[in-house]
Amino acid sequence: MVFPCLPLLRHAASLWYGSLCGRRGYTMPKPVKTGTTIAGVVFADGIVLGADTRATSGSTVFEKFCEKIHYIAPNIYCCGAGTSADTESSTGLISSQLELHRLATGRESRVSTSLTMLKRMLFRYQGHVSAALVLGGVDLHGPHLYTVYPHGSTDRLPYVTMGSGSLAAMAVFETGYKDDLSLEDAKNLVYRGISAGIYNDLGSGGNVDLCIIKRGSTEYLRGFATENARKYRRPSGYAFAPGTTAVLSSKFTRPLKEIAVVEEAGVAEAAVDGAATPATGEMDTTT
Amino acid sequence: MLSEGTLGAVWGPSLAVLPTRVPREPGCTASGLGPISTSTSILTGLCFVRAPRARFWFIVSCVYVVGLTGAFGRPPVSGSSLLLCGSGSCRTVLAVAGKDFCVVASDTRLGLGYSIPSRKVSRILKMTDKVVLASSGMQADMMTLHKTLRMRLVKYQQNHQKDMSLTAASQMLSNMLYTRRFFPYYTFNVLGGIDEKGEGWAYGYDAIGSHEKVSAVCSGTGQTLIQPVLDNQIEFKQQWGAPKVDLSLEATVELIRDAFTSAGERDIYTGDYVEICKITKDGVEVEEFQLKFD
Repeated sequence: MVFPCLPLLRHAASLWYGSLCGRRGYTMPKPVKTGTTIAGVVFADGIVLGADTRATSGSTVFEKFCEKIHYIAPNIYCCGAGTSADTESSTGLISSQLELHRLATGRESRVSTSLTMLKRMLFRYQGHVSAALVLGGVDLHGPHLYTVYPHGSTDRLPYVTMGSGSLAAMAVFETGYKDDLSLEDAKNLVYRGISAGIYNDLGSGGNVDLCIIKRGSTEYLRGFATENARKYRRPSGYAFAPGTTAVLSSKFTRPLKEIAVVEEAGVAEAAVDGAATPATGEMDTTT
Repeated sequence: MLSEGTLGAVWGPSLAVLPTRVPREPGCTASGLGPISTSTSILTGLCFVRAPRARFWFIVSCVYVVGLTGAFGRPPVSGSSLLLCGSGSCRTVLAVAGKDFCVVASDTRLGLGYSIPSRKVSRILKMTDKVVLASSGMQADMMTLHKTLRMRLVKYQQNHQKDMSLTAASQMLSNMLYTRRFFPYYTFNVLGGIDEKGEGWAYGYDAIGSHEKVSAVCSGTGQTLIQPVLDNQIEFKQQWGAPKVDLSLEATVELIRDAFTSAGERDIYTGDYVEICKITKDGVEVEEFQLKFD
């Protein structure tokens, strides 16, 4: 029987190939990951979602004010942690499919529909699409809050956290969560949870974004807390005198004196050419 | 100062609060260094190896370690900073020399993977009144290196009845690093100070003792972000026809504050605080500057 040992052989081969690639210096390009803190809480009238705004590539901060709370439907939003290309494209894909679904049925999207679509898609990719999500929304059945793991498993809980700062945020939630919180208390709890991630997890940082979803209304609070703006700048600044950059050679060409603009054009191709001519002509004359 | 018999304290966190590590009050001399119980630990170590069975296991473990490093290549001397920070901590350290002063600075964050074990750990060693060392790299190796250096400085001071000069200190550090050529201290040092002529100079090192006398150097996780700025602003690289003016001490400190703030914006391992040591003919003055905590 050769078949049962085939995966093992393939694994060995991939290890060998991997070591070969490493030795030759060819490695996979490194994707941008959102070492992230994202969280959500169910309160009396709906859902509060929260996220930090740092995206990293290795130990470098790639983006200081990125948006991690993605739109799914007017009544559903989704926080994403993991590889940012994966979280953005998978939420975007589901969002567009739901839009078409709403146009076809004329009904509000349900949170469970988006959950099923996301988990089926992620399961199909066997964890290679590394998107760890916090999905929240309000539909005809009331408020719903879910987590979706990269392999497609899901949880339905009253308070959830995800990402590299999830332990810091969950510590705050375990201490502070109560059933039927008021909106203000829920906002404050999520803010404190995300802040715990921002200050204690190196993969998280920047601002706190919040999203409040209630029946019939959604409020996106971009930059709910902005405590990590730059504090210091050198007083004298960095002014460089003109000519600091060396001019190695220079050549001046006189602009064309007469530019013919051909208005009449029968064919489509000619029309494109004709349209391009005045634009270049204008640029030449002004410089 | 450690009391005799508390050997455990040598390895414990109490080392970090030794009064000899960057004194907060200016004017504290290297002669204030107390007797260090390193001698005790070395003696205990020798006794341990002298016992027959212990000696056997010591040799076995040595062979094992040597075999491992031989089979899988030398330990990486430079690599991704994530890897580096997995083994302890990493840091951004720099030294900028002026005409008659030198500024040595280091941030105080101790990063480990995605965690922050400490926000305030000094990695600066005041070697004499005119020489200051800052080390990035692995925390444990840095502590051992600084401890051994302190011992050597005290011996030099007592033998010669004078403080070590900047040039002597720079060469001694290089020699100490090279003695560990094939199992190096995982540290990347910058040394700054004032030499016998009263001129400020900085020295940059690799992990095994190669060094260079320069006017500005940076090493650690923020190296790639800060070194080009220092080259441009201190040595006027890439500035054609610009007059090469010497920066004043205050202007240099302002540049260093800005460089660390910028590095803290983009490097996750740089943050919390910066210790800025200003070395002049009057001694060493330490300033603490706050960075972001995220």
